[in-house]
Amino acid sequence: MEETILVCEDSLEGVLTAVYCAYEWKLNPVETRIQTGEADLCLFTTYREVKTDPGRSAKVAGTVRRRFGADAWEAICYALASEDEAKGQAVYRAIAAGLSGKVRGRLMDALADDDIRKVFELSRHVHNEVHRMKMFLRFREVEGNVLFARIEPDANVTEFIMPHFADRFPLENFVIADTRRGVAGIHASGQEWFLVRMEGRVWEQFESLSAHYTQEERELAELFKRFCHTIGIRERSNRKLQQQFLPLKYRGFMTEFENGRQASE
Amino acid sequence: MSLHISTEMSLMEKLEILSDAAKYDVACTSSGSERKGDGKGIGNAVKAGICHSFSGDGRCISLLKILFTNECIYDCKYCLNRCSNDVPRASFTPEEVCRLTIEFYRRNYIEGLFLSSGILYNPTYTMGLIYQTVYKLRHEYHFQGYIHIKAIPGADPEVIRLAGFEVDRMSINLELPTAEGLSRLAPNKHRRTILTPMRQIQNGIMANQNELAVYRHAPQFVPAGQSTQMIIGATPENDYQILSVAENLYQKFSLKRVFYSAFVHVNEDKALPALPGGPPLLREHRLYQADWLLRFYGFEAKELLSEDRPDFNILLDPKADWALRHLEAFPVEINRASYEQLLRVPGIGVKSARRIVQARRSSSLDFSHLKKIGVVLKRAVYFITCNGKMMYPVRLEENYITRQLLDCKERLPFDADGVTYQQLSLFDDRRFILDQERMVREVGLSG
Repeated sequence: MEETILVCEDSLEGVLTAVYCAYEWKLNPVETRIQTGEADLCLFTTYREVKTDPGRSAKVAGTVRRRFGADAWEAICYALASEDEAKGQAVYRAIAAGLSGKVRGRLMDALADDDIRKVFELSRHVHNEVHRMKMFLRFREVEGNVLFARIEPDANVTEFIMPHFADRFPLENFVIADTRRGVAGIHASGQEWFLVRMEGRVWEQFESLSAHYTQEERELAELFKRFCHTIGIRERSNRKLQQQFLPLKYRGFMTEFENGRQASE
Repeated sequence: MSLHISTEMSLMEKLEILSDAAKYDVACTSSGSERKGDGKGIGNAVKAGICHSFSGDGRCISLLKILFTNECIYDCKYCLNRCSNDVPRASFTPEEVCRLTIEFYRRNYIEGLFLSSGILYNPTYTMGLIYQTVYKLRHEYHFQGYIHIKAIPGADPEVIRLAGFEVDRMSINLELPTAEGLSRLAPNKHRRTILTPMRQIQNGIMANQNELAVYRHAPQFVPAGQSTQMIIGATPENDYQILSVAENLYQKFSLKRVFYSAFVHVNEDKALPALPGGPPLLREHRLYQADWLLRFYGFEAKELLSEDRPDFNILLDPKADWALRHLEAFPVEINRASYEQLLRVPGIGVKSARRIVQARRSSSLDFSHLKKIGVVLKRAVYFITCNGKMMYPVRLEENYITRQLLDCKERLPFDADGVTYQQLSLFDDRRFILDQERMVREVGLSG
C-alpha cells in the first residue's frame, strides 16, 4: 500500500483544487494526504503537485455548500485560514467522510469523528482570532487622514475582519496590515474594500510610522491611556485576570500598552 | 494654604475626574443590539458585544464609561461623590463627550458610550443633559455604535421616554437590595422612584416590540433592554434575599442583567461596615455564578438557597452545592438525558451540553468522545454515566464526593495573583462578619 501525497498551495483555492484532483484521480482517501506548502519528504510515497485552479475549487465549494450546508462551508473556510499544517488533510478527510454517506445528520455536528472535529477545532481557533482582532486592533491616525492598523495574528484573518470594519467606518480611509504574512486590507471612504499582497520588505517602513502621527493622534492616545488607568479599581487589582483576558502577545500594537507601559499601574 | 479656584479645566483633567468617578459602575457590556451601519455615518453594533481592553483589575473596557458631571445634590453614604465630600468636581459639555466618543471609537478603543451622571440641580435637569448629549451624538455626529445611559430616578418620564429612543440600553441602579438598606445609606433615594421608571422602560420596550412587529422601521426603544446593579456587603442582607430580589427583577421587570458590585470602602462613615479583608469578592463571585444558574440553567432561587440556608457555601460553587444535596437526581446518562438534565451536572455548561446533544445524534458517546469534544470531566465525572457505566467506580455518597470536589481546586478569578490579598478569608463569610459586629457592639456596650 503506497501513500499518495498531494502538494498544493497554502490557500483556500489550493486545498479545494487538491480535493478535486483526489476525486478526479480516484484516489483512496485512506491512502491519500493533502499537504500545503513544503514539508519533509517521506519514503515510499508518491508526490503529486497540484496547480491551483479556481474553476475546480469552485466546483468543490459548490458541492460542499449543496451537500453539507452553509455552516459547514463557513467552518471549512475558517479552518483553511489557520496555520496548522494538518488543515488540508483534515478538510479533505472531513469532506470525504461527508460524501461517503457514513455521517448521519449535519456534517459539522458529528464531533465524534476525528477529522470533522479537527476542522471544527481549527475553525473555532480562527473564529477566536478574528474576534480578538476585532477587540484588540488599534488604529493610529497618520498624516493625510488615514487610519492605520498593524496586526500579526496567529491565522490569516484579514479578509474576515475587513467586512466588520468596512461596515463600521464607511467614511474612513483605513488600512489593516498583517505584517506577518504581508497581506493588507485597504478601504477608501465610501468605496468597497480590497486585499493587497505586500511584496518584499514593504512593512519595514511601518517601523517609523510613529513619526507621521498627527498631533491630535498623540493627544488622543494620551487621553485613552489615562482613561485605562483611572477606570481600574485599585482595591480590586488583579493582574492575572487581566492577562488571562488580554494575553501579552496582543499588547505589542495596542495604544494603551505603548512604550511598555501597563494600562493602570 | 493656597486657595485654588478652578476656572478652565483641560479635557485630560476632566476625563480623569469623571472616569475615576464612573469606575464603580459595573456594567460595561456592549451586547444585545445588532445593527448594521447605514453607510453614511459611523458605527454599528454586534449582538454579542465586543470588549476592547482590560484594566488592571481584570474588568473589561468596552465602553467609554464616564459621568457627565460628578457634582451631586445627594448624599449617599457609600458614594465618593456625595455632596458632603470634598473632592474635585468637573462637568463635560455635550460637545466634549461627543468628540471623545467619536475619536475613541474611530481608533477602535471602544464599542460606544456609557454615560451616567451625578445629580446636578435636579433629576429632570440632569436627565435632560444626558438626553441632549446622546441626541447630538446620534443626529449630528451620526453615531450608530452602542450607547448605554443611566436613567435618573425621579426625572420626568417624558425625558426618559425620549432618551430611550436614542440609546441601546438604559439602566437604573437599584443601589441596595432592600428598601431598608436604601433608606439607611441613600437617604435621598427611594425604592418607589427607582422602580417606577424601571416599570416605565419595561412597558416602553413591550409596546415598542408590538409596534416593530407591524412597522419594521419604527424607531427602536431601548433595543438592548435594561439592567441594574446593587451593592453587595454594605448592608446586612443575606444571599437568599439578594438572589430573590434578582429573580424578581428578571421575572417581573424583564431585566436583561442584574449586576452585583462588591462594596468598596471609599468613605469613612459609621453607617458603613468595616471590611478589613478588602471588598467581598468571593461573595460577589458566588452571586454571579448563581445569577447565571437563574438565567441560563433553569434554576430557581429557592432551589439554591432557603431561609434555613440563606448563604452560599464558600468552598463550593452553587451548582456543585445543589448537586451534592440532590444526589438522588444522579448519575445522569449522557446518551439519554435531556438538555435540561445535562445542564444541571456540575462541570457541564451551556456549550458542553449543546455539543453533547449535537454529537450524540450521529453516534453514541463514551468518555473519550466527551474529552475530545471538549467536555471537562474533572467534576462531571462523579455525576454522569456513558452507556450505563461510570468512568471510575464512584460511591454516590455526599461526603465522599464533596471531598473529591474540594480536591480538584476551583479556579477563582482572583487567586494567587502575587500582589493580592484575596485568599479565602473568613471575612467572605457573612455570618462571621455579623458575629464580629455583634462582638464589637457588646464590647462597646460593656466599655
